[in-house]
Amino acid sequence: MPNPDALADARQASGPVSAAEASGSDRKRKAGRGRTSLRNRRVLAVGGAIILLAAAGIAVWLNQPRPNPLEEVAAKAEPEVAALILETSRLVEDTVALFPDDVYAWDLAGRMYSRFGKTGQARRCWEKCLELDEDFVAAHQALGLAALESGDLRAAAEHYEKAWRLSPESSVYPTQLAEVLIQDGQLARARDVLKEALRRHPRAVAMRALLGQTLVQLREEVEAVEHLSLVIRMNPEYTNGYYPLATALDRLGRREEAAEMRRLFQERKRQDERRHREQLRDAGVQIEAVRISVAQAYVSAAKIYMSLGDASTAERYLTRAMELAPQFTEASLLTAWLKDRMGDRAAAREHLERILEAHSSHLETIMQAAKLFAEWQDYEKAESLYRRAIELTPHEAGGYLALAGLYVTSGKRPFDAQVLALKAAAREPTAACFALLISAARRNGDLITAAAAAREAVRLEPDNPDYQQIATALGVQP
Amino acid sequence: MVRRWIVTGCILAVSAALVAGWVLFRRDWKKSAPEETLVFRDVTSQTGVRFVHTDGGNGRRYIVETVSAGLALFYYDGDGDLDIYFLNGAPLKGTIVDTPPKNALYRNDGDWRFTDVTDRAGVGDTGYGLGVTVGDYDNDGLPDIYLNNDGPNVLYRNNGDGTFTDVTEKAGVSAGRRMGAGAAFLDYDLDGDLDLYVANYVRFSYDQHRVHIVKGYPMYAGPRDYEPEPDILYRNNGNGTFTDVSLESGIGRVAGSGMGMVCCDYDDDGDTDVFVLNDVSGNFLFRNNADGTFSEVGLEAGFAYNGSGDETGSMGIDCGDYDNDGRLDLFMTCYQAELPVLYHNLGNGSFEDTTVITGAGSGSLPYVNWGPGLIDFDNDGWRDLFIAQGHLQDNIDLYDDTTAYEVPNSLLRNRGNGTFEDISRRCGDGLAPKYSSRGAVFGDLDGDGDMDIVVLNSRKPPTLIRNDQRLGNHWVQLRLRGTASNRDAVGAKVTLVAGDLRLTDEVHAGRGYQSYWGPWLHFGLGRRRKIDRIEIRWPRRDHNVETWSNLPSDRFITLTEGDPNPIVRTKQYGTSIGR
Repeated sequence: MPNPDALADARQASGPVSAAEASGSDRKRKAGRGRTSLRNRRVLAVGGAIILLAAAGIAVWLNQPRPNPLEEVAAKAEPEVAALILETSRLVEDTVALFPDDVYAWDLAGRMYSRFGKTGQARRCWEKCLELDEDFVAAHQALGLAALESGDLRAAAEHYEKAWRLSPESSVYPTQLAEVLIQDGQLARARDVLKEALRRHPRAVAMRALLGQTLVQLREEVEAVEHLSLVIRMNPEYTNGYYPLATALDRLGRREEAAEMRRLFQERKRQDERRHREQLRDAGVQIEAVRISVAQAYVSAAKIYMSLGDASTAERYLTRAMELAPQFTEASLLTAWLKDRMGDRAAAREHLERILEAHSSHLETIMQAAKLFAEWQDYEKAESLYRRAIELTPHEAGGYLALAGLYVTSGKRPFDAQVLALKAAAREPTAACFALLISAARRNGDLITAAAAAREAVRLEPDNPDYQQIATALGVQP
Repeated sequence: MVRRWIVTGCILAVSAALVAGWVLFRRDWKKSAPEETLVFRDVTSQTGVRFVHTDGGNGRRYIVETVSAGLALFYYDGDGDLDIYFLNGAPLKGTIVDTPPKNALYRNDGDWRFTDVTDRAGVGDTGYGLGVTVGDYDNDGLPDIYLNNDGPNVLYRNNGDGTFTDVTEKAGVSAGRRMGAGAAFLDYDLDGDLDLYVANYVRFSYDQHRVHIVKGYPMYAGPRDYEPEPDILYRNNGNGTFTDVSLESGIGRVAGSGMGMVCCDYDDDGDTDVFVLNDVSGNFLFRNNADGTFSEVGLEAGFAYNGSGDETGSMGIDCGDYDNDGRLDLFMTCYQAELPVLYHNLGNGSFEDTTVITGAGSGSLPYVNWGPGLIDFDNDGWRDLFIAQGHLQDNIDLYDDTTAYEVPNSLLRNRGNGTFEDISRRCGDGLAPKYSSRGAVFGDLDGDGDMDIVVLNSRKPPTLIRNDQRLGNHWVQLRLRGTASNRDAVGAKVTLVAGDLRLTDEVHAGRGYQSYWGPWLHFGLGRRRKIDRIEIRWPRRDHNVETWSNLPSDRFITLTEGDPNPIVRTKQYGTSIGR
């Protein structure tokens, strides 16, 4: 049957034709069409096959087992370090596989990936943390740092801001936030952040020094001098306090004082450089640093197991951490705590004594050990350790605060408790110190001191309902 | 069955997305550029430049490998267009090569074609090149070359016939076997001939070689692993020889791990001061006391450290007036995780770190920065910032994914309001190539009035970048010729007034990352068609100032000391015309 449309087309194109001719040309056309159709089908088939092959290739490529990022790092690392990295890799993979819904497991993975330079992978781990718990402060801080290292200052500021808002008691997060804001040119905002944070942490030297530097850049020299002078009074060895102070004094025309600050700065710079050169000569530092990192990973993993009640795995991990880095005392302290929890206080005590013998001047170890002894109600031992801490750092509040707390908790030596709390508050006028002073003073019936301390606590942390309640109870007007 | 189709569909969708992403990515580099203010093109492949840098390494990681090298852009043959001199490394202990690598001189034949004339010119030094400067030390009107090597340095005197002669021994400037860095010619005593400042890095010998292991990977040692080396100042005796005056001038009394350097009159007292960057140590500012001595005042002047009082991994430095306040500011590049530093000259003998408030460090935090340039690329009258980038740890990609060994370079446009914006990824493909760059030099290689770029890349061929901006802004390029002053007029201060625009510059011979570019001074004029006035304060003891008025724009102009008639040309021209 001839196609009428085709015939009409043919007529239009070539004028009148006979039916036979028409029929012949139609056959040809059909045959032509058939060939075209066949060719089209072939083209389609070949094209489809190519696309399918490409797709299959991509699929195979995508499904190929990706090397573990830490294994990738280990592949070309020095043998001793490579072994440690692989050990960490196994630990991280096992922990995440066993506890896929535990933020601490993902945080551990993130920290280890980051430690060995796989920031992209680390970032994904911390993002997973936030999926599981959007208020997980450590992940915000870590993501802030990762963003900063990649040069994304805005993202870094956002994460640090969140970390700070979630954990307002930290002095680290606002300092980090301010540093990023400064790098981003947001000096006024950095100043405001630092001023707000300093209300809570008036003794935070680094934070105050940063505020001083920022004020110098903002041309607020008079206030800068106040803050920076305080910094070097609090810590005369804080090198970077002197430089901006000299700049501010210079601008205020106080040339001689500026010259003196520059001299002191230069002196400390030389000392810092000498120390750095000596450190560089210590060839073992780097492998030690890797060992400590792996030990930290074991401790983090042990904590996860402890929280889930798997004491034996936790103990095994802590033992490995101690083998790797005996100087990293957190593992030893946790082991002592764990032994006690497992019902063997004698072993725990013995373990703790051994740690203290080996680290008799390590403040953090002493403070943590004292805390454990206090928990075990061995107040005498705890007391002697806190006194040791005070001897080691007489200008810092920590030892006084802890010992005062011990007396308040144990009900012993109430007068000493108040004196110690007062000393702590003098060294670090924070709300926490004043809160302890309130408790100590109230026990002694010294309501005037208690009220004064409550007033300070409320001033420092006006939004804290506990302090407001105490203040009201003591008749303090807000 | 359905699942398979879904999987295939997904894979196809992903493939399509990848293709689309790639296309968009390519378009981002290439197509979007013409809409932007500045367009740079990588034209290396068409230039005939075949030079490949080597650091002479063999995996043992000697510290010197990390700091090689600078380059020079000048005209050696007097034809007026800019030729390129690349420094090269040399085999280090344990490295075996068939043919020793050497420095290379490429003659500009015009139309972006270059010919290797190294052997013909006789400047193929096979020493370990680190820094280079160019200057007419014998006042014969011909540019000579000084090489600051790891090992003996070299002075090539230009014979005026396209060849050079090694006159190092005769001139007395070989500087022994020190590990060099930047170098600069200056007339510090204003006696009309060029003296020579030679910066040195650290005191290194193979038996002191060290490698650090970080995260299980070997890392090059840093400058603090070695003792610092004092710099050298040579006074030109005016008879083809020099005298080492390091100690009596005060220069040699302090030691630092010198890197890039520049000489300029920061305090506007008519004599030349010296700025030397020290790697991970306080930088030096040698203030010229005008009596043949210098005082090191880096700390007092606010130049030794960044605004926070931190020493930085200082690399390269350039000098220019970024805010058109008539004072010469400084821009210094630094190491990874450190912002480069823009030192704003306050005019009272001190500087202020304005990096964060100007945005001069935008985008550079993750990278190691090297060759800087304070150059007006768009001829709008405001100096922009170029930064050559790339890590020095060649295995950094293995243990730090926040940076990379080879990265693109950076360009920050001066907005003209005291701030900069990072336009690196939207100004054509010229800045896209990823290398571990070191020295960068700037000049109008094609004579079209805008500044082009040449970058030396460690262990790789260089990058030649053509500035294709079509903004229609006006410009002028000046060449100064001293008569009573040194012939190159190094140290002369130029003030140009065009309508409401007032620009300042100075003639320098040695700057950036251990490099040299010159002799033309380039000024962008924006929409201003004519120059009302040019004032030149010549580098001489009486600080004589001369003025030329009513000069045209878009020209190459030579101004000769004591001659009221400028030579104005539409094309670049060289020594023979200038004579």
